[in-house]
Amino acid sequence: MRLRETNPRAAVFDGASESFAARKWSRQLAEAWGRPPTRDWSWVEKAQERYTKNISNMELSWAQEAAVQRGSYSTIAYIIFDDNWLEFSAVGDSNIFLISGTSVRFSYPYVFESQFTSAPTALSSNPIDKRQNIENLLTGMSRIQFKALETSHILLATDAISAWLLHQDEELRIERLRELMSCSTANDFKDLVIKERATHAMKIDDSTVVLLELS
Amino acid sequence: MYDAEISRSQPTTYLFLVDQSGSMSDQMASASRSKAEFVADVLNKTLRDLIVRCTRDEGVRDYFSVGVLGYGAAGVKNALTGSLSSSWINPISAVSNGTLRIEEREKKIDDGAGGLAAQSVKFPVWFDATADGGTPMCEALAKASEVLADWSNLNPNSFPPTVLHITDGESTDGDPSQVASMLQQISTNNGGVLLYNIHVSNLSMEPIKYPSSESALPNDHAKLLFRMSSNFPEHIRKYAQDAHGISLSPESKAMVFNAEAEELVKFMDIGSRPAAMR
Repeated sequence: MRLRETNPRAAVFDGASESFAARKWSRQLAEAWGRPPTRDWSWVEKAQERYTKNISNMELSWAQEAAVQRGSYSTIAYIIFDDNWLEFSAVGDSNIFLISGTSVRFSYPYVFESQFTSAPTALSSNPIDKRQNIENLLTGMSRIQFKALETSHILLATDAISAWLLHQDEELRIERLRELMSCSTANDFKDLVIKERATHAMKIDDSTVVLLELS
Repeated sequence: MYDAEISRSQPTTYLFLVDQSGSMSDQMASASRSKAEFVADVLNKTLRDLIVRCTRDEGVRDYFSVGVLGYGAAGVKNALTGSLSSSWINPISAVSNGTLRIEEREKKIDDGAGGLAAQSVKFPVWFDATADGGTPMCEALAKASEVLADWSNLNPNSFPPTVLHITDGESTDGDPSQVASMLQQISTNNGGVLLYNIHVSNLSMEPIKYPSSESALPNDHAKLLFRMSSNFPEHIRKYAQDAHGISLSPESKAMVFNAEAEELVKFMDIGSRPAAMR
């Protein structure tokens, strides 16, 4: 992926499968986040408005009405380049990795595979959770001087890939990162995911990565 | 064991065993309703919650199948009626369409200004209170074994079935420990049937919750329920801690004795918590 704009940015979103319309919600979030950047959090509210409008056009059963009230949920992990700094935030278990050559120099928000067993926080579609969403984004927000870490690549990944990469065995971690980095096409990546799922090394779950090579 | 992912191609099942004997008409100590009425409400809410958990924008996904066996004057019977009465266990999507009626009830919600406001909510009903006759617990556990043996044969790789048994008294058709043991020996490749027992009481006595040892239990009936109960799988122990602040050890038995309303609600919520759904 080649990013030419000023303050280039990238993100991954992962809809929580045990929620009403996770795909619709994560898509609305991605579209709202992807519009010209604002330094406030109005994109979250816009995503909620569009999601609610979309749902209100549906004819709902009693169970769907109750499920709508329960909400839809999505994680987010995003980065924004700002000269030598990388600004980022993550809500939930999608992860950001700063990579130098073949080693992970920085991993956020999770560092260990065992952390992925906890129930993650998430961005909620419910307008009543607007303040909580912003609090979660602010809590997850930080910045780092990425050039000081000799970062060659930045990887954003959903939890299935992230947990797999953060295996407790160091040799396995290095080997897995090497395998992932050697994927040069979408089909290579697909083959890798299928192979790792088959041996139960990787959880069967949405597997999405954004890999940025820095030049 | 007890780690199989729950999916539409690999669903799990919940079987509710409900004591409908005459004593269930006694009033709960802390509620203005009978034990049978309170149990009916909690069971209907549990079914609703299971359905909502499976509901997506495209419809209800069959992650679970569900059965409700009632036992009392009429022996053991399928406590679900209408379109659900022809099968002991039904897919959750069929259960969602098989309500007896949908009531409007009031729920208190945060009004955003430090107070509570009443909100009307739809309360689906599948199961009405019944209380009559004796307590044929052995017959009920035997029927559960028969139903779940068939289910487990058809779903060998699934997360094993969970039986949530609600009773207020002692068996009137013999010692149920042997048939309970047989029920727990039915298994899928992912473990044996999980049997959770709750004894509801109207005596305002201190409840005994999830004991890990038989020695401190007050009487033979409590000890019998202890021996009839499974241990909790890890995901349930974690959920009980996270959601209810209940600390469970690997030795904790899935039983509550002398339960009042609050314990019953928590027991049903904890017991019907699924492992990872996909």
